[in-house]
Amino acid sequence: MAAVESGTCEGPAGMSAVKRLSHAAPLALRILAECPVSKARACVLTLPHGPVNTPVFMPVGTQGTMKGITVEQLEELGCQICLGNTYHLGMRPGPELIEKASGLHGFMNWRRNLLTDSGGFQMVSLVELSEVTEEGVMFRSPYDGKEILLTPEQSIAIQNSLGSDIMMQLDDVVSSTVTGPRVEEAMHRSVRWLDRCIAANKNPDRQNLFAIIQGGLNADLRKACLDEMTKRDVPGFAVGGLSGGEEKDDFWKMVTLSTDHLPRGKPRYLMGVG
Amino acid sequence: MKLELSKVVQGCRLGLLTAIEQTAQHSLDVPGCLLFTHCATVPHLTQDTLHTLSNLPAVTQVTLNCLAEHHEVLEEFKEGVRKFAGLHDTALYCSLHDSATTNPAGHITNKTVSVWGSGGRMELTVAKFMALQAAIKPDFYQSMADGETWQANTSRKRVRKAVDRTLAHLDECLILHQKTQELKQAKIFGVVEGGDILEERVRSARETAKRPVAGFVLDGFQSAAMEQDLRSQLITAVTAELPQEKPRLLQGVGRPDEVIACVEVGVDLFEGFFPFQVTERGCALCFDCTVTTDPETAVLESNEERPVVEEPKENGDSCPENMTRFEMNLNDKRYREDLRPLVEGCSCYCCKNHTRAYIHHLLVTNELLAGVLLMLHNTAHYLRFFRALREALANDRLQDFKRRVLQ
Repeated sequence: MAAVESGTCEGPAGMSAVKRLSHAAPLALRILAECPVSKARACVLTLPHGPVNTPVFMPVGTQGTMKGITVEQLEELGCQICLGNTYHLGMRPGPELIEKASGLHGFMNWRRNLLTDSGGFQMVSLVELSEVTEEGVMFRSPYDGKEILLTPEQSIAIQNSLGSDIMMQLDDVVSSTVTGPRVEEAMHRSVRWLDRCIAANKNPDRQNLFAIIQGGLNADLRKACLDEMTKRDVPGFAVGGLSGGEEKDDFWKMVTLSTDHLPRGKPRYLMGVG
Repeated sequence: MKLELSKVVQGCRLGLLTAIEQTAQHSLDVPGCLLFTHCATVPHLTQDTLHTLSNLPAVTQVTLNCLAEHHEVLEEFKEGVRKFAGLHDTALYCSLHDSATTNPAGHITNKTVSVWGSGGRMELTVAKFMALQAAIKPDFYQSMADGETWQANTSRKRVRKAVDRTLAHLDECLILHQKTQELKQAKIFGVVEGGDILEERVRSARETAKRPVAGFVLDGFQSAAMEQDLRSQLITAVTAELPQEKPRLLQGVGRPDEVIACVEVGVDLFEGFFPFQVTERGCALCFDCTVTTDPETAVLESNEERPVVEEPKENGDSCPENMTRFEMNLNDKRYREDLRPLVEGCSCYCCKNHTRAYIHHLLVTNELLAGVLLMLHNTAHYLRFFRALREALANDRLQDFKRRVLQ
């Protein structure tokens, strides 16, 4: 397990600056260097399964494997963290078996870090007839046709079984090309779902839950989301709801707005960008 | 090329094939198998993963069906297929056909044979065949041959024609071989045909043995084509006509029980396609290939890792076609939660790092890694089988070994 530093993080300008983590999160971020011109920074992110040098691109091992390569090859390539997909693994082989096999690390025999997404994105992008309510995302399983409801609690339960080093909250994902009241609804719901995810996390001592900033391409909504989510006691933040086909010019504006208001001492994960 | 036999007991030959190429660094244990490739790559494996295996065969096999369509490029490349494919340091054998696939019949003529590449059928004359060999630059290769006698009820006339054509092709190949600069260091193997007709087999063997070839390929004995009893009978008659000091390579036979039976009638070398076929059906080799010891050495060997044989396999749900009793079907639901390695005590990368449940998951989800891991295990197990076979021969324990493999 990583040694834990209680980091300082700066809240929004004007507020009293120092916030401490209320419990020992299994994550530490050490900033090695910051660019004097841009906001770029080089860090070492220490997680339960070792260090990760950032900025980093995380290979996607969707179904518990990097396509065609062994974990030994992946390690030799220098990969320090890769992704597993909660939706797919939750379907096959399912969280019970993976838990029995000592988590996703044990099941695929990967000894470095793993990040799992919430399963939400696959559900709205892969599955026809999915419906979002306050409870969760309702969809029809493509494997057996049964109706399934994925709630924040269930997403976290699956990710707890997978045992990933970083887990993503279940968020209400809306395409960046969507405008209107749906975007605001999704942003507020994502905040409420973040709280439910935090409450549901059985393993805060060894699994890091990240929040996902939403708000579409609307600067006001983004800012409101940032204000709310940074009040929560999470070890890291993701910028979500982008890379869905929006104009690049709109895209980067939302990214830079987000990083302006995210705490310096916590890692930032930009989702869907490779 | 030299075959050094250390022991011959009841028809079984044990030894070493040396000086396979000019630089004379590689030698191949006999009886042994070749390293099977598709287009000069071991299926599913790259050099990284391939070299997690120890004691690879010293000879890698390539087949013309894959390479024929790359003739122009290979000719321009000038340095042969071993370098073109980035193969490791290995000797190279080139065969006409790929024993893991069956070709459509009926396309052979007096002057040509056909191979099937990605673009379809290509017709080869001896001239074209030899030009290909020059571009490929193998260390040894089979001469062009008509082996299309495997269909049921092939007429005697057709079998005789196959023998005649093959001899004619051999003679032409030999002439062109002498004239081809790129093949100066290479050796040519004659091909014995004759279908299932004893007299034709003997005739083919006798005639081929008269030619200045470095070894013999036994063709038309493919697993699907013939029962082992007949095969053994015919091979016995064939090897009686062949010089003892030249190697015999049997094509198209790879199942462990058939391998042992063919070793017992004087075969030295086998192709290595069987592990690949097992892999393609999502299965893993698991048969017992340990060599028993006499009581004195039992204490020493009890400390070594020995693969443990799998429980008897009842047919699971939908057994893959052609599945043999030497393997387990990882597609079967029974392995879904099985956290044991494929074979207890196996030292291959797959067994040291992964479980049956994981392999099953990879197969269910159609992941590429399933092929990689199964290929590693199956190749390791098959090579271990040949090592154990040689050890059994060396220690006069063949019958006992045979019993264990066949149980």
